[in-house]
Amino acid sequence: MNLSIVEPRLDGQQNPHSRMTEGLEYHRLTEQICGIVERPVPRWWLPAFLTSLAIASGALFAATYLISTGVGVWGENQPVGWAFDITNFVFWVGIGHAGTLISAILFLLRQKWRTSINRFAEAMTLFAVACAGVYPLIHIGRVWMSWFLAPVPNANAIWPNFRSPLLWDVFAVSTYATVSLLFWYVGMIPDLASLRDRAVTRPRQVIYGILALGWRGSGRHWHHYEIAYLLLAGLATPLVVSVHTIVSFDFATSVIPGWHTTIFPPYFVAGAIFSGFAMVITLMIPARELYGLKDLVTDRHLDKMAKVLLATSLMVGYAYSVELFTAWYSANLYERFAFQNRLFGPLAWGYAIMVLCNVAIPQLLWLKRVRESVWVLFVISVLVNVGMWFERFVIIVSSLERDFLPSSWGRFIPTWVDLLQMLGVFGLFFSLMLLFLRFLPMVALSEVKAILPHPSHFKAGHTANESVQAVSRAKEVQAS
Amino acid sequence: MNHCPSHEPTKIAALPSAVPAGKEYWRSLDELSDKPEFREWLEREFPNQASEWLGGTVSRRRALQLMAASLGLAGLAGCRRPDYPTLPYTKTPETVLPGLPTSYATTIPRPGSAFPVLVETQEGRPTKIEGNPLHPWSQGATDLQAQAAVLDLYDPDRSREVMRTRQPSTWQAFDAFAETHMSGLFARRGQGLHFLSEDVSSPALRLLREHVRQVLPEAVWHAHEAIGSENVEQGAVLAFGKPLTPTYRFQNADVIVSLGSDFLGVEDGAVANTRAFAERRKVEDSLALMNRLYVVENHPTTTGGVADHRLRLPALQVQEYLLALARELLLRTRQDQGSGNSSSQLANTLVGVGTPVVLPPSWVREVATDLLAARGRSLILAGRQQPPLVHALAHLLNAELGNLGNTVLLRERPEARIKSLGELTESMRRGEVGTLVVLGSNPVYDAPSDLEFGVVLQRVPHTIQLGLYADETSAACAWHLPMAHFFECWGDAETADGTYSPVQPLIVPLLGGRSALEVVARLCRYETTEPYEIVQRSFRRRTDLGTEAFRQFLHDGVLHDSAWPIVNAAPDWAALTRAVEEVQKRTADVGPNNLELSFHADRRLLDGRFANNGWLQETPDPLTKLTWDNAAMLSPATAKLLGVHTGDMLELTLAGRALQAPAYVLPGQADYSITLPLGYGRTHAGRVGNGVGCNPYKLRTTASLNMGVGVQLRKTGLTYRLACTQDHGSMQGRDLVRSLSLQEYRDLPAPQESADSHSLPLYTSAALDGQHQWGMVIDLNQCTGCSACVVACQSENNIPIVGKDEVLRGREMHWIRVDRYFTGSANDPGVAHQPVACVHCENAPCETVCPVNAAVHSPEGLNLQVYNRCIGTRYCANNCPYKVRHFNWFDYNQRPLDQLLAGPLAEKGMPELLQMQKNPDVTVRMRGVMEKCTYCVQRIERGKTGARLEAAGSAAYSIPDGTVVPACAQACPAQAIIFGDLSDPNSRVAQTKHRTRNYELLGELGTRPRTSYQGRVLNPNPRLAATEVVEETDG
Repeated sequence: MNLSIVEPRLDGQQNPHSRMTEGLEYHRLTEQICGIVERPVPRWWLPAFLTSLAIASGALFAATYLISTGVGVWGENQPVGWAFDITNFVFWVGIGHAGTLISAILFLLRQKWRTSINRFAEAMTLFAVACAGVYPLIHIGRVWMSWFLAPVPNANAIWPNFRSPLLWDVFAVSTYATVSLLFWYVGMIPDLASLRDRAVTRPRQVIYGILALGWRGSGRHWHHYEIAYLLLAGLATPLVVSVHTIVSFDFATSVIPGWHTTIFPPYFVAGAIFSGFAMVITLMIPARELYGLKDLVTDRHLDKMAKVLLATSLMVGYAYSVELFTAWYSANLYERFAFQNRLFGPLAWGYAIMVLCNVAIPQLLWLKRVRESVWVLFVISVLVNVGMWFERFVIIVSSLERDFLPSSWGRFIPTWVDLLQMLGVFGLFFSLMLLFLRFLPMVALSEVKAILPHPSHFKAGHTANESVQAVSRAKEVQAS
Repeated sequence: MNHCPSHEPTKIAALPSAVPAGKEYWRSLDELSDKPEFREWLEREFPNQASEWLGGTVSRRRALQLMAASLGLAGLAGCRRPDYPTLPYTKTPETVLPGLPTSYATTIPRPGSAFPVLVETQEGRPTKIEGNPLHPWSQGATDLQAQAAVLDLYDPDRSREVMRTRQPSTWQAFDAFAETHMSGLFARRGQGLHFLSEDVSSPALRLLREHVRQVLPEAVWHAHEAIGSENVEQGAVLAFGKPLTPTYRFQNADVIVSLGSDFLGVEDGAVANTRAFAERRKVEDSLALMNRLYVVENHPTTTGGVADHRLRLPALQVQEYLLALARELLLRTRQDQGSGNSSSQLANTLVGVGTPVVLPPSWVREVATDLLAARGRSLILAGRQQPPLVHALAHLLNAELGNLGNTVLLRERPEARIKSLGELTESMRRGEVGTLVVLGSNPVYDAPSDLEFGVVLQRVPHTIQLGLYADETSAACAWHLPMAHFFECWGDAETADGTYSPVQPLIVPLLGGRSALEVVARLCRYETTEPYEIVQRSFRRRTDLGTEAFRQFLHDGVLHDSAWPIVNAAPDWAALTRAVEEVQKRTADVGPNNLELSFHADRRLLDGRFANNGWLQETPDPLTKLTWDNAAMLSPATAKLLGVHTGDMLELTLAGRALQAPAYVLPGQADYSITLPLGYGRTHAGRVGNGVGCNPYKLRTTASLNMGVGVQLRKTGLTYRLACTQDHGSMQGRDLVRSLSLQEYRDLPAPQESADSHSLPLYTSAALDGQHQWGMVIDLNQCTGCSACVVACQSENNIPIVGKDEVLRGREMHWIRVDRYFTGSANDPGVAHQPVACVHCENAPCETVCPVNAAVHSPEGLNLQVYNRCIGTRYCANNCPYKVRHFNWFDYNQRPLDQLLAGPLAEKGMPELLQMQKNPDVTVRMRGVMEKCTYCVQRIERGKTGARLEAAGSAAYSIPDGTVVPACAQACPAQAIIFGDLSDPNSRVAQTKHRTRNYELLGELGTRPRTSYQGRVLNPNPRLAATEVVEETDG
């Protein structure tokens, strides 16, 4: 694994990362990225957006039906109190991990190759967290009472139960969403300023002007910006680990065999990174095709992400086997049965899909040929997403279906509302993604430029902002 | 709860009975205040101020006082006091405390019997039924049908209006018709008039029957019950020459052999039987106390489930077993006593008869040995399904073993048998019936199909049916009259042993019905048509006692020691010998090519009369755990042979009649024997019961009333979804229901105070520093799985029904469920029942995970669920190892069952009648909240309030043990559930927890449940157990 490639070289000329963006120039880059936002939408965009929106409206319909009628419109029951809702919640939160990981941890580790993809991944994170947030909200029996979860002082002096992992979830996910949003937005400010400066229509000037928060690109600005970004990266880093750790506590702190497992926190975090990277690949491959960004998001980027995928797949595979080992080694009747049931019970097919997609198929990524063939990689990444969805489904549902007392064992069968809700939330995700592609710079221009070779000369039409930015940036970097 | 004298007759007498509104309750104050009684009463009550009111110069203050008092009580419109004009409580009767329920003693009529109950009323609204502790047939406990009866009272589908040829009519119209029509009949001395009633055992109705015999001598009275006791009666006639009624004393029996008798289940008197039987399973009192039960039966019954030894035989072969047993017993007694007596003649005949069926020899030998060892302390009894010969032989063996008078009491009924439905159908066929009056019976649905009652009914010119529902028979009759529910009218009843008890109204007829007594009295022009009068006359006639005794009778709900006299009778050996000789002409054997079909009363709906009762429809069958359906039950081996799986739709053909029924493969069913529970497949039951299940009456003929052979079985290729609440019968090697043999129990070491090392909680638990520490013990050795607790809890705690579709989705709401596990082989398993409700863990997994603090602990150790705090994350239910939490997936209380999925535009709202049933002390839960067993916290609080009041302000108060009884424990016929204060070392519950067989379900999880279980102790016959193992391996 060649993750920490080399100690970053600070003089742009010999920056090894520049190899990843060979042939790019400042101006072309700006034209390319800002152009996506400024030029009329490509022909495919509107149909794609409307389709996504139509699908998303399914989620709205399903949720309206659910809230007006009762949670019973889903297939959940006694003993399976959670099924598609929490499965999808964990699935989306997991996907939401890649963005912050790429942005924050790789930033701190000076993995400069991240610059081409971090903006995109962060946006994906935010939207995934938004999608995840839908489920805990609507899955409760009395949505209109959800404010009971907030620690607001009230006349009865009743506080939320701070022992409940669900409450930790509320804090963890909302913190994560807030920090991710800030991180994403702060990182975008210089690029928003670029868009503002290039804007030719009044509304664009105003909107991007407001969003750019008066960014002028002064050395002082850059100085503060870099510090803020670094701090946020530092702040976001523990969150990458904490969110899914806490999500896993929902299960790990319970008494249900198959849930009550100490390995869950690292297992869930690894799984989250795994699924997050898979989703980035799934989205990035078509996006770079459609917008012609192959020189920005190069095959080498994909190669690196594929390697991360392989590494996390191995971690997940390890977790699977340790789970089985622990169940056997514990000699605990219920624990053993839970895993026996997972392997051979009514949801054995789900377990098979999970192992196949998450452990077996990613092993193909050992082959350079596979990592290099973009569409094979795409298919693998999609399968990983499927596999990770099933991982959560199998953990949640198979454990609940058959726990301690055989008398109360049951089955979960999803209804059309479950399926529509799930599909609709995918529609919501893609709608948000398409809006992002249309209205915001999908690549972090300023960051990519920082790792470009120094321009040999200024070209006409290049804005002052950008050249100053590049120069000052290089200076600062050297000074530090 | 106070058990108070009801309807003080003095008060009633004080009111002029000429008031025509006897059956109506006033709806407005104006109506009432205009009545002269009101004025008169007012003057009595307020002699000084009456003029103010009457004179029209009411002071503002006075008027407001009066209005407030009157309206306050008029607001209790549900509070229709029972019977007779009632006045608002301006002065509360001594026995009524607003907010506290009052109990009245009454009786539920049953086929040929009755069930004594106390009905809890809330300001005049009956809400809950308990057993009558003073009556030997209840002793405070109930069965599930008695618990559910209150729901029938408020059934919105009950018949509301008089119908003439299916068009709405009125009582006036009917009375006018009856007047002219009966005049003609009186002129003809009742020629052509036939009555068909249920087999009600009511002295008042007997009184009227005598009157009918006098004034209409040509009229004929018939009685019909789908599940009657003809076999019992004929068996007694065969054995003793007269129809004596056997009653059993299980408390005296050391060895019991049941021949297809479900005496702990659907047989009459099961509640008393269970109590007496359970008394002999209390091993703690004395090891020698433990009785031993052998059961020979074809389908698993409640009784079979608790048997120490159970022999599966097709219902037809039970007789073969008894013949073999009789031979063995008589041959052995002959050896003891020397030969020459009449028994040896029968023994010889029995030897000649032989046994065509291969029976396990040890079952004959060892059971006989056991019976002989317990002469005078043994008991052989036969089920209603079994032919008269089996009953007669059982009597004979009981006589031979010296059990008559000890464990079997024979009683003589006062009235000769009345004519049957078969005789009525014959008369109808011959065109002799001009007028048929059907009283409560529903023969179009439940008559044997070969009688074709519905067809011949069309030949009767005048048909009048009185029914609780507009049922199948109503649809075929010219007149349908709504019948008053037995909680709405006066009457009386006798249990099968003749113990006399009153039926008294708790509420004025809600839907304007009349009782059978009133209808007959009016039709036949009895001196009084007032049922109250009739009942009083009947009481005087039966008892020769006065008004004071009548008051006591109403108060107690029973006339003590009023059972029919016990008679001594000697069996008629010669007649029996002849009958046994007859047996040689018996039919072909049951086998793979000659399948048997047997019918039995459904454990919930009985013969189908309760089909519109949602509580009973949704109560899981104790053995199959099936709700909302019946099914053809087959043994696993037979199912395998026929290639049938549970849920396959079968077509059963018996003697040319066909019926489609789903298959249910039931471990413990006899091979080659298919059993169909009756009571389903109603077409005119009401919205709840219509079209539920299949109707086995279509296959049932007079020849195959209980069982028939040669049923053809065909798979239709269709499948049918059966709503079972428990799909897994195996305990998966987990020690959930612990059981021991008596020997093992004897050798059990004393319980050790275990260190409970791994039970270190993550959090400090809530402080358990209340004055009381509530706890429960469920004795699995007493529990028969009858499920009375399930319905009792449903009734007490306002638990909604959810319907078949929701049960299929796994969303039944019962706070207490009875888990059923099978042990041993699939074909011939043991059965274990385990009631499970919230066990109130001290270290509760549900409490830590609730994010909003809706699941909290009380200082008294109750695990509380705060409904208005709950937001419905369902995390608590997921984390509950016992899976006893139930979520309101829909607004089950507001949406009709067919509107659950209908979205926001569904019709909503609970019918007013059903609202009246709700227990005002328990919140009716809305959708989206979790609920579960509360240990009946409302009863605990009521008990505490009472104790505090008694302590009169002093801080120290104590609640005597047994004051607080949860609904499940109160209903339990076996007294398997013990509840009380654990902090009181002398309480029964605390004492019981020290027993060696006490254990905590899933206690190893460290949940520290407050409900613990007492392991089962079985008393197998060691010699038989040994041979059974050998025979099993041989087979």
